[in-house]
Amino acid sequence: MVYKPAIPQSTDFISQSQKDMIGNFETLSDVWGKPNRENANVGDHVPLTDPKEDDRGGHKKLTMPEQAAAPTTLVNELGLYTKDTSGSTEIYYREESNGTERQLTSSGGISIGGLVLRAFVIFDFQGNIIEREELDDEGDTIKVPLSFNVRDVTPNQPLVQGKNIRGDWKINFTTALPTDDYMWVYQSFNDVAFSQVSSRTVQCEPYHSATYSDTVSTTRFRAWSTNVPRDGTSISPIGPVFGRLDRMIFQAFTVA
Amino acid sequence: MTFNPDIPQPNDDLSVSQGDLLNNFTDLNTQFAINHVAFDDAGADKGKHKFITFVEQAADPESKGDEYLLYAKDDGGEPELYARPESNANAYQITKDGALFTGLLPVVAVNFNNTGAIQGSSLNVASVSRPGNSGRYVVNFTNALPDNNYVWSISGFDNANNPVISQVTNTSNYGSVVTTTSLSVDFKNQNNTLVTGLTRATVIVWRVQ
Repeated sequence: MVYKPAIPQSTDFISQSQKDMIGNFETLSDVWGKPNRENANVGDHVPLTDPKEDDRGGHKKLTMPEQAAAPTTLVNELGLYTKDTSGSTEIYYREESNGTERQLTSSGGISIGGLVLRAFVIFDFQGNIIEREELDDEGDTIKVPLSFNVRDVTPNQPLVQGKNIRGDWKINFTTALPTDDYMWVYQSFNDVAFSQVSSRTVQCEPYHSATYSDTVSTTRFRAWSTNVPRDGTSISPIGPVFGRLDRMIFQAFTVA
Repeated sequence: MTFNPDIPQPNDDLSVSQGDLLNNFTDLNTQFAINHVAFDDAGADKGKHKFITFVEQAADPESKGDEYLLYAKDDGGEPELYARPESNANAYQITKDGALFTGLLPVVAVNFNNTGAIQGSSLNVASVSRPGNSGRYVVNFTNALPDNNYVWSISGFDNANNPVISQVTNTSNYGSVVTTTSLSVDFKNQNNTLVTGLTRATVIVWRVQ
């Protein structure tokens, strides 16, 4: 039924008005929000007839069709909406009094101050992604990998007796990044008591003996940790650090 | 006319109820359409949100179990977005001064090549200069930062067979190389010599919000 905002009219018969009014009440109820089991994306609100009276008046979800322009905001108001950005629907908010528009999402990521975190990972020397233990809703212990958009970290050199011995890894992304001109952060913590790195500094960087696209791509980042002597002398040959760094951290960012 | 929730009354004349009902149906549609696609919209989007206008709340609203709240509250004179998890848990701030509130805000970001040419999109970077034609670069900001007590990340990539040690230029005092308008960065090899063949580098600067 189509909602009729202009009923009943003074000239309507009561029988016509009765049909119009029940039609409006049914449409109001449907458009306001259908029960979840009907699974139609019609109405964002808890149904007017929801058996949980306390939930009535609340939202089930927010569905925001794109707006052609930023909505008006008055003083002491803040507006949240979506708008087309280079063909994608993105979330924006607008400050009070028709203030500045601010983009909150970009190509599937959250924009913080104009920068979007696209991937991060904390891993050990074998390429294992570090996990954190926490309790789920049932009180059972679960392990949460300390990574975002990283499928795995694979040692890039042949294993020796089943173990990785060199600081050379590929960090493989789950979903490709939108560009390979991203900004990266890569650092490590090394155990100073470990003899093979005790007299040297471990330098963390993108793998350098390759083209940019071989090392930094939309699908992976080749992380390299090498020995640098503390006295400024050369180490030859230069290669990835031997031994056991305790932790590596990596982050990738793009501009929104 | 304002929506009247108390109509029709049992003793109302039909002619009175007609006007009251007409007003309520019209007002419901009008008010709903302020933030939503209207009830009488012909398209499939009716009932969805065009946008959400959050009117400042004086205090954090109560949240029950299995609820999550989103609302606006005053923060230093202007409304900001807040969230409150279920069961009246601690509310937290989502936006602050025009950005998501995460405690640390990126204010400069750039990926540049050997000549200092910016690669792809950058954030608040007007240019990257290369005084001395070596591995020293100065990242010049478009808009000055409020102070020079910021956090940085610097990393270089050289496709020659050399490690690249990336750092803020350390040949001068802090205020000369870390300024509100620029950041001077060095890329050196393992012999403590500025590299000349830098392929790419990234610099990110954050400020505490």
